[in-house]
Amino acid sequence: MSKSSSFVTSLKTISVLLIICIVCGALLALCNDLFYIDEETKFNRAMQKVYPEFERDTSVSETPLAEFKDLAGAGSVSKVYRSKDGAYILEATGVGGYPDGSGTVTMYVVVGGETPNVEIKSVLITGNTKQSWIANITQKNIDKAYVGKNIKDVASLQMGNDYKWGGATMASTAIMNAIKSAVNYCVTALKLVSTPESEARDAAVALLEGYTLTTVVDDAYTTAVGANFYFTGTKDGADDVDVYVFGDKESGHQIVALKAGLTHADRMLDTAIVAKSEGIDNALVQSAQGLSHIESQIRALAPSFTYDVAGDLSQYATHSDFADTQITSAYVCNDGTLAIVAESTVGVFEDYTPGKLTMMVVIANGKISGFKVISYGGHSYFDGSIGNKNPQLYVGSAIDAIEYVKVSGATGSGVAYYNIIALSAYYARSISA
Amino acid sequence: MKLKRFKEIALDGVVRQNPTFKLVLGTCPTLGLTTAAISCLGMGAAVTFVLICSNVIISLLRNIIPDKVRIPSFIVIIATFVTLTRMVMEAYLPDLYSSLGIFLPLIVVNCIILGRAESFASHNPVGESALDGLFMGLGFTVAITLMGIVREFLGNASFMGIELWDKNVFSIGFFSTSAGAFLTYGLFIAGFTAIQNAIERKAQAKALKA
Amino acid sequence: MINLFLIGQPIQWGSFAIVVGIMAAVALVLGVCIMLISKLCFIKEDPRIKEVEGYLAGANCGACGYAGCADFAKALVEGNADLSACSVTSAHGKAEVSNILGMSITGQEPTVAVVSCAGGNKCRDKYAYQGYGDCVSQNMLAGGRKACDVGCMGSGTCVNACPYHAVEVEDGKAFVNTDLCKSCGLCIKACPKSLIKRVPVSAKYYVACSSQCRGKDVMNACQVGCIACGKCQRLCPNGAIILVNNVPVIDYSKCTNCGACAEGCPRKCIKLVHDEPKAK
Repeated sequence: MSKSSSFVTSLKTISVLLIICIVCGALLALCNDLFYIDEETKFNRAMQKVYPEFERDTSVSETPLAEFKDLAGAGSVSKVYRSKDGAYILEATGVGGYPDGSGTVTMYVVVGGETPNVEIKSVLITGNTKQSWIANITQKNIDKAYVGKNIKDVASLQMGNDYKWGGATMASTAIMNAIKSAVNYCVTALKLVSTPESEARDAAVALLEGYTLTTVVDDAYTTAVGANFYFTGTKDGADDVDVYVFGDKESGHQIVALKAGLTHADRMLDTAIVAKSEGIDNALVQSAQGLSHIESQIRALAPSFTYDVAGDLSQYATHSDFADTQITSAYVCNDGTLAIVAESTVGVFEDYTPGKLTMMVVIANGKISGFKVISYGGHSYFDGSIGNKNPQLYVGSAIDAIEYVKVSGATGSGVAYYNIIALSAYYARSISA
Repeated sequence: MKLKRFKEIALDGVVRQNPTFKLVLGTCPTLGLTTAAISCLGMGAAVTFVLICSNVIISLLRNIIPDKVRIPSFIVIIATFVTLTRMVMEAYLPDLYSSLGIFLPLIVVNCIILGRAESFASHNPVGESALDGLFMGLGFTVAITLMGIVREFLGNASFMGIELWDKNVFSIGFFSTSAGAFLTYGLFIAGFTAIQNAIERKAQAKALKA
Repeated sequence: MINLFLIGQPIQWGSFAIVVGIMAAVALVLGVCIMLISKLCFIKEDPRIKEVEGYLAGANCGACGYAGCADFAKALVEGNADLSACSVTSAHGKAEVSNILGMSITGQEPTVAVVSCAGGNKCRDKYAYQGYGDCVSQNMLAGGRKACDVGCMGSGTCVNACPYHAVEVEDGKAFVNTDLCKSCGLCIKACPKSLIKRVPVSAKYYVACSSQCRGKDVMNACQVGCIACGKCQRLCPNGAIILVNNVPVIDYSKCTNCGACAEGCPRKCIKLVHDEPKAK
């Protein structure tokens, strides 16, 4: 083989390969542009697999708000896409119950509908870690369990046999947790529906301005105390507060905020304890049941709780003018309304021993605004002669001008009644001085 | 082309030299994709298309490509067609595209395509090569679809994606695993060979009697 | 913009150039690498080997005993093999090979294979055989089911061996279609009774019996077996056919294809080489 011929062969070989590669390269480059799909279309297609009517609305941010994206112990939301028709697609991850906290399921949850009929439209699992049994869960299982349910109901779901399939307990738990995280975001950040928790939280947030509240789930303490929800809150990174919410929106929330960790408190001043709800200065305060309920709850949290403004109760709890009458407890709301519980054993009349009359008197804006009988003792005439009178005796009088009015037919009760009201007025005048 | 040659190529591709059950080539998609019969059909169609196209081009160029760069040339040609297939699929059949996943690019190194290019297309004229590509592809498609139907039915209680009954009630999950894939494959090969041998023996017996 | 397919974007000439450039660069670099390495790893192969291989039949049947025509070519060039080992290559091809190798062609006359047995269904069975339908297997059972110890069993081992589909079984015995036979010799090796032999293509007649028995013994077993009467030997004008161990043997260098032996044979066991198979 002469050198030139071997060079020619080499050249021929290389040029054939070169030509093939160039032709193929050109063809591919052309076809790439011919069949090109831009990112937007690809994204919409991917989303349309979950929700066929999806059209990306880029006017809102797709990063979830940091304070709402995590559902403690359950999972978190990583992306929120809004569709032009108002539906949302959330990408959520849920944990499955492995002891070290690993084992997750990631999915798309589509939420849509008009408030309050906001429901889960579809669920599509996109990935998982460590969930080796997840193949046993079919799309049908998931759809039957979650699709079409109002997110309010989903938020309060608990794990049960209806939500466990194919022996894949961890995966089923992770799925529920992911869905609950997504729903939680819809409720708290997007405010699509209000759940009891979101209402409680809104009330607490309205009360404690500037505090960031986090829900604590399944706190055994909460159950023991009887609160519906328990939040912890911080303000500017400091001043941790424990917030307990009792009651509900219809009957009124009762919110008790405690400085974190404080269980034995002798005094809790207005920055530490605030007890208020929309109804407390009206119906609930006047319902001694309601207020004593609050008091018992506060005491459950802080056993030696007493409330004192300027002095202690002993100073103004009794008065020589009002015999056998004393104030047992007093509360102030943060609008200044006073709720005073007092009892009187006055009224013995001709061997007639009526027993103890216990009442709660509400004083607001310097006037007696209402009262409620907690227990009659033996004052059987009270209801007829005094209680049913309209307008009620002394209600509306200014606290510095309570005049005794004799009640015919129930003199003893009338005196007891007057004593309680007048003593309460005296207390109110004294502490504000 | 003579009918005899046509029949020969056709029978070779689908039955006598079936790439999956006789030549045992292209086992990667066979084992990996046969959990669902629908993706088998899609894969088979893609492989057939690439086979025909690459066979044709390689047959056209068979006298031009020098021996030393045979392999790189074949691979570039095959890769071009696979990339084309991928582009078209991604554009018009996105569901199939995502269900095939990694197996679509793996068609480039599918033994069937390179094997037929090497052993058939580089020695035979264009028409025959095209037909060979078509029937080999058909043989492959039929083979993996059959396997897919069996595995999907037993392992997932569904047929072509339609759920027949709840798989947690009754299904043999083993068949959805890789071990099940091997077992099914082996059983199919055994069955196929047994049938082939029986047919051959019958033909021989017939010839002997005559 | 080519919007034929309802999708796509205008051709990006920038990325087009990049793609083509990269492909070209890769091809160039790798092509050069391939050529350099092939020069580096150049195995000094005698260039004659490829030439010789070009003239061989290319059937890769392996009858020569080598692993295909390439291997046989190598052996030929190295002087380890003889052209006679290959019966498939044409005379012209062999002549060219001889030219290249500088050796004279050994006057190889083309041959075909014939089955030296006419029995088959005309030969009695000693026993009924049931089992794997192969002559080799059958032969292990007391020499096969045929009453004649060298009778063709007709189970087709030779049929399977022939790569050219030239052997068929007809009337219970093997038969070679001389149009298709390339005389590769694979059937000869396959037959457990060594019944198949090569005869020159120009030969017209061959002896279709290999039995070394005579007379009544043969007539007991087979209707067409040679009884070693010797008539053929007496009839041949050229002395081309003689009885050896009760088997007539034709010396084809003397045979003139006159056919006297075939006509005179009382058993009709001298047959035509290029006969048509009856089944067609």
